[in-house]
Amino acid sequence: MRKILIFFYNLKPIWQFTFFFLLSIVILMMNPAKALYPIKANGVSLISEIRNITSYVKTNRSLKKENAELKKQLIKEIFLKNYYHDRFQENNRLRRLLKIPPLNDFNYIFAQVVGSSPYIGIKAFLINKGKNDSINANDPVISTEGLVGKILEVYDHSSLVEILPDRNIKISAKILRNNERGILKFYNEDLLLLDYIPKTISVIVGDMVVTSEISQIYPPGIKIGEVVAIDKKPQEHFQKVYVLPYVNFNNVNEILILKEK
Amino acid sequence: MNNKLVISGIGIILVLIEYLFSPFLNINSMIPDLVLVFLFLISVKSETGFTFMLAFLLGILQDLFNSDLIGISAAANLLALYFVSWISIKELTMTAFVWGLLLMGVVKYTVYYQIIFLQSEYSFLAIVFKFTIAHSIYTLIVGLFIFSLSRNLFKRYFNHV
Repeated sequence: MRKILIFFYNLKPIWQFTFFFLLSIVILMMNPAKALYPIKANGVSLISEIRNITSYVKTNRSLKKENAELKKQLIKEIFLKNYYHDRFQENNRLRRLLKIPPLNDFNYIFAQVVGSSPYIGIKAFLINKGKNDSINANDPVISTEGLVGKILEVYDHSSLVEILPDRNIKISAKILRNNERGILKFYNEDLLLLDYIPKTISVIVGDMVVTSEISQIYPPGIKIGEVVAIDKKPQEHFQKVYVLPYVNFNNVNEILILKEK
Repeated sequence: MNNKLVISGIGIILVLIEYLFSPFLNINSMIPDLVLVFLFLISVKSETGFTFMLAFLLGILQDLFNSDLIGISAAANLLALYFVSWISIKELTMTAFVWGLLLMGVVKYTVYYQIIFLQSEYSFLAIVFKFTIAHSIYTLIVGLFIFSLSRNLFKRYFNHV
């Protein structure tokens, strides 16, 4: 060991630099191979715990106020939950009478975001729930603001969530006001593009976009975003509808994974 | 050897402090890079081989805690240190500190953000203006604050080495 250190110290600075730089590049390239994934996940968990403490100290002043607000909101939500549960049961009874398959109900798995994507070019979050918590690939992921994305990869104690601003994402979505369906896909870091909506269909800025009934991954009716711009070109059959997601992807900490009952 | 161990220990503590206090220091997802300030200060008098090794190790630690791509900070730290080693700083004056740290910041964050946004629609210049310069200046401001507070300590260290 000592000999290696002496040899290393005797090298010219340019060679010392080259050695460490190449080592960094090799480690960087190994990331997609997941070779360092357990070390990375542990590092993230550790710092996430420490950060939780400091965040607590920072927000302590506003906690009481927030708590009071949440209690008020909780009472309202419990009332609404019971109300909608009755409506849900009634709806399913009527559907059965009309011989329409009943609506699915869901279990929710709570998870925390503990890191970002280890892959270059894939917009994703690392969450602290995995195979051991019954998470499967393609499970839909939501937050309080709306649709976040879907599970891309599952590991034993963590999973990777592909989020809406990823280039590969494609979702069957509809405009809530008129039930008009299209395919929602990546446009840029901030906006999504709802494509294949005929030009003859009325779309208004401010329309809400939700998941459609024909999606095989996402349950229908999950809020996605709001129409912010529409582009109708004379030579094209379809209009381009630009959608701003409701979820602020820079500030997602807690998410829910939907599991069909 | 003991001196190097102490310096390495301080570096590791700085990585921890950086992220422990990141919720307080975070502006637009940017946290001041205390490690970069530290690497610049020790690069003035320490052996080049040792500072390269430290830049690599602290970079790996930063990546582990920051949950970004492992190796990206190490590579960026090394490049920044390599560029700053071209400037021969004989005495650590305020001017030398400002220009040296600014150069390191610009080099580090150019490399860092170009890799992070490799397949995004941001152009090279957009990344430079939106992230590189902002992060470098934020690090410089915090670095100046630390440097002016503990200037005598650094002077004693540099006279001692």
